[in-house]
Amino acid sequence: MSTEQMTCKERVQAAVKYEDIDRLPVFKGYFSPARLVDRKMNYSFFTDAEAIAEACWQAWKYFDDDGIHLLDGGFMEEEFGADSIWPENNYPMINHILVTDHEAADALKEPDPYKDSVFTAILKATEILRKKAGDEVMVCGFINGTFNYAARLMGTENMMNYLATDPELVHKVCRKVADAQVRYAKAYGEAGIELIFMPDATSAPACISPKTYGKMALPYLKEAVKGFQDAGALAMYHPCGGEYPIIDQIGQTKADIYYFSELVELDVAQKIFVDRAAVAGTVNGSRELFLGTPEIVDEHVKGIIDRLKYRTGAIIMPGCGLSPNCKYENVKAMVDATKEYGKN
Amino acid sequence: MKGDMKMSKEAIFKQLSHAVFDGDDDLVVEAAEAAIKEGIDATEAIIEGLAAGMTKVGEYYEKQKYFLPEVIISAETFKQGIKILEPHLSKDIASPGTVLMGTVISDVHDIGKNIVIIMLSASGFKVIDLGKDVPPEAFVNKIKEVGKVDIVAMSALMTTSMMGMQDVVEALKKEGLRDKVKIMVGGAPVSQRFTDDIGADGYAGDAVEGVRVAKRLVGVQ
Ligand code: B12
Ligand SMILES: [Zn+2]
Repeated sequence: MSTEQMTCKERVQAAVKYEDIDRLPVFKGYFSPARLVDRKMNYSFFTDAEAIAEACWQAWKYFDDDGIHLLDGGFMEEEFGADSIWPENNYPMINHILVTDHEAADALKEPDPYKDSVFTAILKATEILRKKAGDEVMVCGFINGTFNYAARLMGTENMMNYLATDPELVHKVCRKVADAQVRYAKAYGEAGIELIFMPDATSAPACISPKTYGKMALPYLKEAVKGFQDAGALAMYHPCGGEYPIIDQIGQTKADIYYFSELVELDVAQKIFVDRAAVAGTVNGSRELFLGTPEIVDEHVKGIIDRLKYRTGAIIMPGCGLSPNCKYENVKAMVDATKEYGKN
Repeated sequence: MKGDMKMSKEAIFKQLSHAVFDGDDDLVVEAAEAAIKEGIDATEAIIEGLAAGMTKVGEYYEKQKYFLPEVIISAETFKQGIKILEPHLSKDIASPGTVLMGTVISDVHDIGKNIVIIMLSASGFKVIDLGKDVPPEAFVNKIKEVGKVDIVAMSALMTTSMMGMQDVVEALKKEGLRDKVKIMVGGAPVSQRFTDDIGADGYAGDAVEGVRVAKRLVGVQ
């Protein structure tokens, strides 16, 4: 088939349900498109709804993939009460660790999605993009995972320590984070978001054990996923980092899409989740996309697609977030390769 | 420890190792103090006791039997033990070498680096920690300041920051220091190919492997 028969949106929706599709969908993945509109990643950009919308739109046009992807999902840490640092060309960070004891955990503020300086811009950008995109393509949002947020509030190293010495403190913070995630998702839903991406590296086996994951993280991740779905969005969960040891548990989150790093074979994941959830990812963001060439990327993507048993139920994308200085020609090569080798 | 019962050297080493492996901060203090009281050589207590425990922790982490919470608690226990034994070290012990280590500029990820440092120290290396977000000139200046550094070790966790390693290699070349040191790199996005590309000498995927590579680079087993 030389011409494509489905819209981007139809293709993703059908792939998630393992229905017939004209070709496999592809997502450019997560990296800031600020560069595309000649902007720096600074406070003025992150709070400028028009600029965000324009950058995301341009990125979709430029890479010609199957989704419009909003960047980072607001600045919930600041809403919790943290003071922030805004680098001249990078994502904002928090200046001080907010929670070191139960008292501080009790004192955390309740994040309000409609007051979050970054998220209000993202909500407005979502509305702008929804109008532009119509039924052609999904607008995809971003809300960090429960453990990722908790780690930022407590300090990762401290949090790992508390997991062993004071798990109740971690529970207390996660409880508040999960509630906030659901509130953010609801606001996203009202703005018309159709998919929410949730990365959670801090609860993956690169950091904690499968047992701790089941006890400490999974209950909250389930709530977050349900919140996304109740808001009318597909939930795409990314358990980032050495995922195999928890691959049996992540299914309990009931996410619509499981998005894996290059450490998982996409074909194996697909066989595990067939007819239950779509699988995504696994294009190596460092070895191929960052250090490689378009030819190397083409070969790599072809291999991933050739090994798939079902030519639906999978979305090709980088195995993890890409750096803002990634090579655009390599990302483009990944999209083109999917269009070529993913045809049905 | 009960009463005045004398403990054998082996029993104390076992306790030290156990304390680190279990992250037991009471036991590590007790055992380290016992070692001193019994007049056991502090170097030996560190190597046969604390470091042996930390090596086992490293192996468990490599095999995914231990995860970050366990490793971080063990590392703290290890440091507690060192604090007690260090003042009793004899000054002229042979170390395999001096490592200058830091997380490269614009990168604040230091958990992995700290684990590598603990493992290197546990193997007898003298490690100078430059911290995180370290600019190339800081590596250069430190080498000039201390005179002799055997290995420059760098960590980077982001594809955005890993090019900072190349800047350090270039800075060392410019200052005529490149041939005087070995360069070792690591961190999640780093690979053997990248290591070769930037002209570094060694790469390791984890801390246990890192110790092996460091030993190879300085020519000891
Ligand atoms: C913890 C963490 C943080 C913590 C760091 C706390 C700290 N004190 O280190 C905080 C919250 C501060 C943080 C911040 C950010 N992070 Co972060 N973070 C992580 C996370 C979850 C775990 C890293 C970690 O500690 N792993 C455990 C340690 C033990 O493993 P390791 O570092 O790999 O080290 C081992 C080996 O690699 C090796 N090793 C490491 N260094 C060296 C050196 C030598 C010489 C040798 C031989 C071996 C060696 O030995 C170690 C032990 O075996 C990873 C995700 C992941 N799955 O890796 C993301 C991750 C690295 N972060 C990421 C990002 C993007 C960020 C931020 C920009 C914020 C954001 N938007 O998320 C900021 C960056 C700030 C900055 N300028 O640096 C990305 C990087 C993506 C990319 N494109 O490269 C990752 C992959 C997550 C993601 N997908 O978003 N992060
Ligand atoms: Zn990831």
